Amino acid sequence: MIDYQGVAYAYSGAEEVLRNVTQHVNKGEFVAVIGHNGSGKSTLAKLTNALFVPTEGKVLVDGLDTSDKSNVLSVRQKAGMVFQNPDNQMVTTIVEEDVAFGPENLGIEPSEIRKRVDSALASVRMGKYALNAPNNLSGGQKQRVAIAGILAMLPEVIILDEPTAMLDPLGRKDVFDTVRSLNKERGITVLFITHFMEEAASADRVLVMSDGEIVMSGAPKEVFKEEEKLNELGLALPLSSWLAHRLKEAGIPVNETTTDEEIADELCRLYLNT
Amino acid sequence: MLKNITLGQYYPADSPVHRLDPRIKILLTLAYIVLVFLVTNWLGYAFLLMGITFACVLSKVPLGYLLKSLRPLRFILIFTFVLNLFFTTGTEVWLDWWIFRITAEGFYRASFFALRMVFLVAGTSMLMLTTSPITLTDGLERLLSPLKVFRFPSHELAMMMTIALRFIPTLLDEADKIMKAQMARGADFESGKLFARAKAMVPLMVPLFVSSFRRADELAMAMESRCYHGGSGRTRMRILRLKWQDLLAVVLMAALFALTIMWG
Repeated sequence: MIDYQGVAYAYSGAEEVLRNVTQHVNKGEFVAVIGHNGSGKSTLAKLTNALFVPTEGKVLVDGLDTSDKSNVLSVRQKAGMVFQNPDNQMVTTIVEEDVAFGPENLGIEPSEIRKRVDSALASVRMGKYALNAPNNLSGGQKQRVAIAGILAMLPEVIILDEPTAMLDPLGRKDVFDTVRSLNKERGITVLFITHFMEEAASADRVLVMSDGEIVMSGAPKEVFKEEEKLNELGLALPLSSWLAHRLKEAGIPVNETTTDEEIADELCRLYLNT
Repeated sequence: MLKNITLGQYYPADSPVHRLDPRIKILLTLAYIVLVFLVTNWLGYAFLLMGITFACVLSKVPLGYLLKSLRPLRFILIFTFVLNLFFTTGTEVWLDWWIFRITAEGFYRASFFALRMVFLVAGTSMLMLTTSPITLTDGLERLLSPLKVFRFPSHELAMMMTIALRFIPTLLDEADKIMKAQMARGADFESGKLFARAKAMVPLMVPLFVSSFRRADELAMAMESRCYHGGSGRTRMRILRLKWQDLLAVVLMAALFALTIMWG
C-alpha cells in the first residue's frame, strides 16, 4: 500500500532529518511508529501525505508517486492525515460541516457528501454531535471528528501523527480504539505515530525510528524483546513487557508479552500450572 | 472576564424568519435600507414600524432584544438630535435664548433623522438576530460569487470569515489562560490608568500573536492535507434552494415598498 524507496528528506538548507528509509506497508496493516522527539516520525507522516516531497528516493501510495504534482489530490484522498492538535485542524464552526470539508474539496455531489458525512460520524460514534460547535467538545471527541473528516473522503490509509499526545487517558483510549476498530472492521491501513508504548504494543507491526532512520521493524513482541537496545534509543517498554522481563530475570518462566491482557493470561496460566 | 463576549447578536430560535434563505434575507435587508432612505413623512415610518414589528413577532425574537441592539446607538442619536434641533433654521420659533434657537422645523427634522437611524439599525439587527454567523457567511459567499468574473475573491473572503468565526472562541480561551498565567506571576491587568493598562496588555498580546501564527501554520497544513485547493472545483454539502416562504417574503417586502413609495 505504501512504499518508501530509499527516502531522504531535508528542510531547505538544513541537515537531513530523514535518510535511507526503505520500507513497505501492506494493505490492511496497522503499523505503529515510535521514536523519541526529533527522530523523524512526523516527517515520515508528512511525506506519506504529499505535504512534503522527498529530496531523495520515492514514496508510493497505492502505486502513485507523491512527487508527481498531478497525483497530489488523489494521494491525499487515499491517505488521509490526522494531526496532533485537535483544535488546529478544524475549519468550520459546525461539526458536520467540518466533516464535509474534505469531500467538498474533492468536488463530490452534495447528496453523496451528506451520506458520507452521516456514515462517517456514525462510525466514530459522534452522530449526535453533528450540529455542535467544535469548541464545546472534549479533546477525544474532537479527534474522533477529525477522523470522521478523513473517513468521509473514503481513504485507504489513515496516517495519525501523535493523535493522542494532547488527550487525557480516557480520550486517548477512545481515539485508539476507534482507529483500531476501523482497521479491523474495514481493513483501512493505519500508520499510527505515537510515543505511548502501550499503543504501539497493540499494533501489527512496530517501526522504531532514531535520528532519521528506521532502526527496528517487527511485531511488537520482537521489538519489545530488545529492551537494552530500546533503552539506548531513549524508549521505555510497555509496562507488561517490562514486567515480563523482570519476572524472567527472577527465574519465572513467562513468555514474551506486550499487552495487559497477555500478561494477565500468562500469569494466570503459570499460577494454574503450579 | 473574556468569556462574556458574545459572537454577533444571533438569537437561536426556530421560526419562519430564521429559516428564510440567507441570500434572500441579505437582499431584503438591503432593500429595506434603501426604503428607509426613501421615507419622506411620518406615514412612511408607520409602514416601516408595521413591517419590522411583523418580522419581529414572526421571528419569536423578544422585542427587548431588538431594542437592546439600539443601545450602542444612544450617544450618536442624542448627538444628531441635538445638532439638528439647534442648527435648523425655521420660521416658527419655540425658544430663543442667547445663541440657541429652537424652531418647530428643527424639532421635526431632528426627530425625523433620529427615527431614520433607529429604523436602519433595527432592520439590520433583525438580520443579525435571526441569522447565525455561519449561515450569513454562506449567504454572502453565494451572493458575491457572480463577482468572481471580475476576479473578486468571494470564496476566499467567505473562507477567511469562517476560519475567523471558528477561532474566535479558541483564541479567547487561550487569552484567558495566558492572562491567568501572567496574573499568577504578578501581572496586573485591572488597575492603573488607561496607558498603564494598555501597557500591561503587551505580555498578553505577544504570546497570543505567536501562538496564532503557529495555529495558522498548522491549520493551513491540515487544510491542505484534506485536499483544499481553493474555491475552484469545490462543491458544498448544503445547497440553498429557494422555497415558497422566500418568495412570500419578497412579495411582502415589495408590498411594503409600494406602500411607502406611494404614501410615505
